[in-house]
Amino acid sequence: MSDSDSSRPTDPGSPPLQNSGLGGALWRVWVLACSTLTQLVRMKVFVFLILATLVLAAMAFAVVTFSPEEELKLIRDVALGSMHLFASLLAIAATAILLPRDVEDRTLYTILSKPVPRYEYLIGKWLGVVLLIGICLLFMDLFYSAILWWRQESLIQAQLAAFEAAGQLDAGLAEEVRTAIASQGLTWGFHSGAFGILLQGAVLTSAVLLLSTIATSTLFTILAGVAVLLIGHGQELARRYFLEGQVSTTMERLIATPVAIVFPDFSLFQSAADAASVGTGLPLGDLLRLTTIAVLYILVYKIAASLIFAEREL
Amino acid sequence: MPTVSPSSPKPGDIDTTPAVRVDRLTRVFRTPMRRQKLIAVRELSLEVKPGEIYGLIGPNGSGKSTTMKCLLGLVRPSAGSCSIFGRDSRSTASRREVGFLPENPYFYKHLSGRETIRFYGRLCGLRGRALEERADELLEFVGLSDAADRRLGGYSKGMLQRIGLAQALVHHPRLLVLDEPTAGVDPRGSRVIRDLVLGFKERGITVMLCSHLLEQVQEVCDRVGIIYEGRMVREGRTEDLIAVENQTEIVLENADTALLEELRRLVTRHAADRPGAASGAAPRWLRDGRPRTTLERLFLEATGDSSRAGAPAADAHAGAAPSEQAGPPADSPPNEPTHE
Repeated sequence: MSDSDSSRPTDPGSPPLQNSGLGGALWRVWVLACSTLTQLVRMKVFVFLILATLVLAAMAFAVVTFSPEEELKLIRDVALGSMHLFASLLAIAATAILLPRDVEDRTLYTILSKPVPRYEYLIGKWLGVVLLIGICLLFMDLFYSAILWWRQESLIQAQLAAFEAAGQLDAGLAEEVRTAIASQGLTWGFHSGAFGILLQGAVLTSAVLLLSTIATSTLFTILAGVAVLLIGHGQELARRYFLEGQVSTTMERLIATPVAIVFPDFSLFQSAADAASVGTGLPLGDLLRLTTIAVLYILVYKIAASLIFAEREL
Repeated sequence: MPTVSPSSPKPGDIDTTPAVRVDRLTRVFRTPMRRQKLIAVRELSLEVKPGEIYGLIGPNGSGKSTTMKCLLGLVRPSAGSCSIFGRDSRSTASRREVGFLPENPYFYKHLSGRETIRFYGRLCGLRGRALEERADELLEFVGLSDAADRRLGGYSKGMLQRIGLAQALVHHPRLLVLDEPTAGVDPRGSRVIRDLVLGFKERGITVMLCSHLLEQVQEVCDRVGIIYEGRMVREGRTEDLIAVENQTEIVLENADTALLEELRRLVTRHAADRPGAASGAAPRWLRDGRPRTTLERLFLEATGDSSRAGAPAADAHAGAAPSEQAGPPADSPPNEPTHE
């Protein structure tokens, strides 16, 4: 270590830092997000993702199907199911370890002792996880799109060849076969399903981050995150039960109301995946509505998390 | 709680704003279930002037860390206030002027030393070429240029402490808050960090440090505050606090037995001639003997770092283990024993 007169690294109050205003805030959030993404990537998340994706894709081919449409639907279902599983796993596990670990390791002290407001730290962490989910979903979307396209084309060719061998093929039938199989193959609806899963992952991440501002351990956050996911998928039932007046007692009302208000309704986002599963996909208007709902959920959870975290003793 | 507004000195004015001001700080913690009150800090006040090295010492649980956390905005005061160069500690802006090294810092293990400095530099608004140059500069300064691209997971305790110092300095702070900066570091690394702290003072950086190693605090700090059960029990200039008012030390080199015997007789005769000798106010020969060196010096010499063992900065403030007799003056040669 040198402390020579020529070195000036310790000179105080040197160049003014451009660190204020909205630009500075966005910059810090981006820095924190990139750091979070790097942290998660270096945990070998992608290796696990690639291996699991390959295994799941192989399993899709192993199942016996009776028609080309069934086979393509099965591949699509496996694709959407694995995307949903990965997005949920990452949203819960990755988010649950970030904040408690920073507190336990006191890394948080060195970050918050810089000119970084606590809410920027939370937004940065959230964005990092969402970026990771987005990259994973993009990879899986591309991978399964390629498989669907390849399988769809090979099935069309096989069907056409079979009709031609039977001497039944004409232009009209060829077009009919092509349309029928392609409707269950790679469509834009598949991508809208992936987008719905991304939105759900972003909402789940913000909910788990809110939990981790209250929790004192990673395990509790993970378990509570899983509970949020499960309740979120059953939330629609609770809301209907409450709104349609099927609640008879005060106790039932007391239980149903917080569930309907506090927990996110993941069935909304599931609708995008369901539509993709049957090969149609959601219309653009519905996707925009879904995006707006997701943004509202995220805002509410972010504000609550910021308020709690601002008061938290470190 | 009063709000402290930031001060902006006019050109030519001498900035007399305290680097740190803690004003009647009280911090009460409550246990989650029993709602019991735990008073960590009570009505604590202190001030650190710009350019000073201030040591806050006290036993475990005395409130040192809570005071530091309040100062850094990590914990809210229950009453009173803290400010850094006139800015309320609760404002994010106050942290532009401060660099913090926590006790036993753990940074992101997945990052290399260079990436760590870049990360903290970016958080402070540095970017591009300026950031790269700053990272190189600091890595060289803390002696980690060779390990710059290794991940922190493979760093030793001393290296982590040094990278911690680098991140604390990345945005050119005017104040450094160091919590146990040499905790767990071997004597050589500890010496290096101590020399760095003295170097900060030369460059005009104010340092507030908290340590259990009282010898080190004594060596480097201009002023010291002793905190106990959340209260400031003693505070003042280090020299004033540790001086034994009614004793004087003389250190002789190459003094033979005859000379020492003559001196002892002289003191005895002088004491007998003075009125009030019986009341205990007369001079008295307390002890003599050979001064001792310190284990730290022995360690540094034995491990081949004798230049560090006798570094001028260290000698100027050198401390030593208690000895039977007074040691040499501050400008003694490197391998000489030190005074009590």
